[in-house]
Amino acid sequence: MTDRASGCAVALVLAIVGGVAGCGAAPGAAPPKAAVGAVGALVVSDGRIAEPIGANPAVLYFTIGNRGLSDDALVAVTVEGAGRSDIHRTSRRGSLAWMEPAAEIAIPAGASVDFAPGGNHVMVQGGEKRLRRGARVSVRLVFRRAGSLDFPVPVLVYRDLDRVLAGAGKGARQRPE
Amino acid sequence: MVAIVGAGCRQAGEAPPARALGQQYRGQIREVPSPVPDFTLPDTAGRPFAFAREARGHVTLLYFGYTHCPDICPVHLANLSAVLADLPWDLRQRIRVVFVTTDPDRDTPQALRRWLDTFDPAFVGLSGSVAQTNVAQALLGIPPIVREDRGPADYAVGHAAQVIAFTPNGQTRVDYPFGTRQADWAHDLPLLAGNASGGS
Repeated sequence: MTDRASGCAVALVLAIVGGVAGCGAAPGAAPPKAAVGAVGALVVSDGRIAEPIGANPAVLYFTIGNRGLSDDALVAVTVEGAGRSDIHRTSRRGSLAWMEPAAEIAIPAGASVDFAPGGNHVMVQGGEKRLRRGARVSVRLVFRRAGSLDFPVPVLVYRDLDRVLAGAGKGARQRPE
Repeated sequence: MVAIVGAGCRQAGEAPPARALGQQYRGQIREVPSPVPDFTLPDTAGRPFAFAREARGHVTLLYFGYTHCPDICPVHLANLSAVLADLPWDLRQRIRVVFVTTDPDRDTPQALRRWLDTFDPAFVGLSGSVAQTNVAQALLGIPPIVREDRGPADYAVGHAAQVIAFTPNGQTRVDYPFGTRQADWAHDLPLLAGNASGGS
């Protein structure tokens, strides 16, 4: 079910980013609805941060579409006003959910990769003063091939994630064992 | 997808058969009914919270997680708090959220209380030892807590991703996997509560 949900999300995001103007863009395709930045063949959309609760970590989500012919990878993330940002993936081990650090996340050619609840995400620590609801902060993504990209990301509260994710058709649904 | 359990003839005034209820829930009703687990852990005020006894008469939504979890735990609790805030007061009083920490070293009762209060001060927080919590998890078919160290004071904790709901009469367990939307909760919480008035 997770795979199917991810597949649907990938298809949706490909549809969204598929029309970005530039070399290789599909003719007549619609412009992206939520793209917030592009570097090389990579298009980033749907950036959002959930406000940290107390001194606990915040979380950063977004989507990266790779419209090029070469694979790439996200290797680092920095968030304005935060002390440390770690790339994570949430995976399953039996009936347990497990948050694992990832040195990098592959962004294959022609694919779209979601950072969304229950899957890939960026854990952001030390940002409790700056990352408040309603703020917009600058996020930098560093890619192995394409270089880096800075883009603004709004901060919202966890309860609002449901609404924005439902609108984008995202968020992994997992089955209990 | 909802599993179906056995149905039977229904007399006037009896609870709807499990088959019908199972088809109505958006959560996943367990094929094999499991008893409400009988464990006791201290709450955030240090009082013993006897789960099976406390669950009687309430819809009880049980979740195991930890406050340093940025991705799954706060999403579940935020969704629940948003939906509960919109329910009629009398229905809200019949639903109880119980959060058991799987990280008692960092989640002191005070820290857990502060964290839960940001969602809903009515949420119950339980913080026992790892051994005590493992006993509770085992009663629900959840493997023991595993902690993965990543450096000084830095570690992750594997935890169950689903919220486990028990109806007020303790007859039905419905699991809500991660990804359950607020709309799903808004649909199912009245059903879970109604199960008691129908035949507990």
